[in-house]
Amino acid sequence: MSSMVLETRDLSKQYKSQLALNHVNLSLQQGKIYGLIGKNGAGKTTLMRMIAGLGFPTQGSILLFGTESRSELEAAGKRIGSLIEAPGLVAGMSAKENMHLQCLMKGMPNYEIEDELLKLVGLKDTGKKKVKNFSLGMKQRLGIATTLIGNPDLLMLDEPINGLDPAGVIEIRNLIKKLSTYENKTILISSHNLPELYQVATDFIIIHEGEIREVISHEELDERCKCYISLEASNVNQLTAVLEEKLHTQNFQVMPDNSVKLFDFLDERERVGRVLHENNVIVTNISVCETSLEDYFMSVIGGRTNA
Amino acid sequence: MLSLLRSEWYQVRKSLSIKITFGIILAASVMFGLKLTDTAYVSEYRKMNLVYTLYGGGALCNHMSDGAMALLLASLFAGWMIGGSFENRVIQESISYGKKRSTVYLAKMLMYSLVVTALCLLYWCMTTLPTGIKYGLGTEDICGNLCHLPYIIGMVAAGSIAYISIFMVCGVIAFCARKTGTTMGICFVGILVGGNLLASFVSEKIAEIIHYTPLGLYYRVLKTDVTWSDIGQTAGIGLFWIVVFGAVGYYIFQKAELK
Repeated sequence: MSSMVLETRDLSKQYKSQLALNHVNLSLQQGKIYGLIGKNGAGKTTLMRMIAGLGFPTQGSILLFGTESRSELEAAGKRIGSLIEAPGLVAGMSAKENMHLQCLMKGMPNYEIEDELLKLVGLKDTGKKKVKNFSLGMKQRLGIATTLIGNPDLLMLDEPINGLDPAGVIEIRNLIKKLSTYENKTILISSHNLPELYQVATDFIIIHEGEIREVISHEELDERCKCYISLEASNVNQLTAVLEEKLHTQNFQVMPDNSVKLFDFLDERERVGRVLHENNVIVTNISVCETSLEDYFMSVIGGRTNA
Repeated sequence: MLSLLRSEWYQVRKSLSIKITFGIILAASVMFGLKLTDTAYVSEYRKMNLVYTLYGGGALCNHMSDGAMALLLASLFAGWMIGGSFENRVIQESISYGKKRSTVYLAKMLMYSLVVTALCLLYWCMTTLPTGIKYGLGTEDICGNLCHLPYIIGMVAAGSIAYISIFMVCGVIAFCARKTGTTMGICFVGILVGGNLLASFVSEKIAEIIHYTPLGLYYRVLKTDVTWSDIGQTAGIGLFWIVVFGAVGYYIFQKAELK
């Protein structure tokens, strides 16, 4: 049975006139990968900063690994690895030196682990090259490596694939999946790259204007986003009757705009059209549709702007 | 705490800016110190009735009065060591890892104060060394108590404590500004404006109050007739202001929303 890693209760954050988080109630289970989706300014980073202790909630509480007392929260923080906004790196140091610095700071200097983590993110051979000469992707990789110091149970990654090349994206995706599957780590990722997030997350948290609009599992999302034949007819009752009686299916949904989503016969569109025509149903539109995570997100927040 | 201090020390060891500053100070102070032993300077100092500055303790006292140099270093290092750590997010990293803000603050302030004080001591001592070697510690009628080594050590220790409390102001500014450039800018302007204001507009009443601030070290220990009472008072006042400024900075940092 998976246990609770993080729980927020009525978490709110007010910045002067702006409400950045509005009564956020969230619980993260161990071993899952949560994709945090929201527009710019939706409250993703604010939420992560509150959890990491970089900011203070105006209201509400955070339970980390079952504790909410301030002193225990600080100890629980050692079980969190976070990469929020930008990695904490010293530009004048090499990757190895930065790793050593972070290990010293966390009280666990170990050259073997440092090398292992650098190898894991593909930065073992950067030698004495200073971080200031790294590409954005290399910095991100190093940032991810530093979050893994101390083998944390919860990883919070804010735009982890930002700046990575396609090969790097695949590597990081596989690494994240591996950490969750084999090491049972809980991972909270925020990203604007929804197709990528779709490939890696097991659950999705949709946040909009500081409010959690929906928490949905990958399976539920697939169920809601699955392919369907969109049917529009002059008489929707006649249409549904034919679907039930002639095509022997009840796997359809009548939408508020009177269109019908038919989830069967996806490869037999012609047959559906023919049967409807033979039964005198006047079909005004027939098409195959698919909802992506992007479309789903937009439908939840009710807009057409960038995610 | 120990792990943070070790990481702070590691950053100091690896910092190119600190290495360059160290090199410049070392070279400049040795050159400056040697120059002060020139016969031309010696006769000039004699004319100006500053004979005591030709001897070890007196020269050290004279160089310690160079507050501008110390504050310049404090401004630079507050920007580099504290403002820079906010900019490169190393401070945020340690807090999100669960380190207490109080420990992070203490480790940062401690290392910053030690580095700046060490550099100042290097500057003061290296500038004094050639004079001290050439002329020795002098006599009581010329250098007062500063011809005795214990008094010299006491003056340096109390003076350093007083200076640390002044450096803390730059540290607090760095914890408020949380940026390298902004910290340096505010500190530089503060030093210039503050120095001019003090020099131009301070009334006798205010000067009396200043005696009870870290700046009181200019009246109390940076003089030849220094006594143990002066040394004790300066150290006590310095420690008091270290606690006051430290508490102000800690309060600000404890409440700060870190980006």
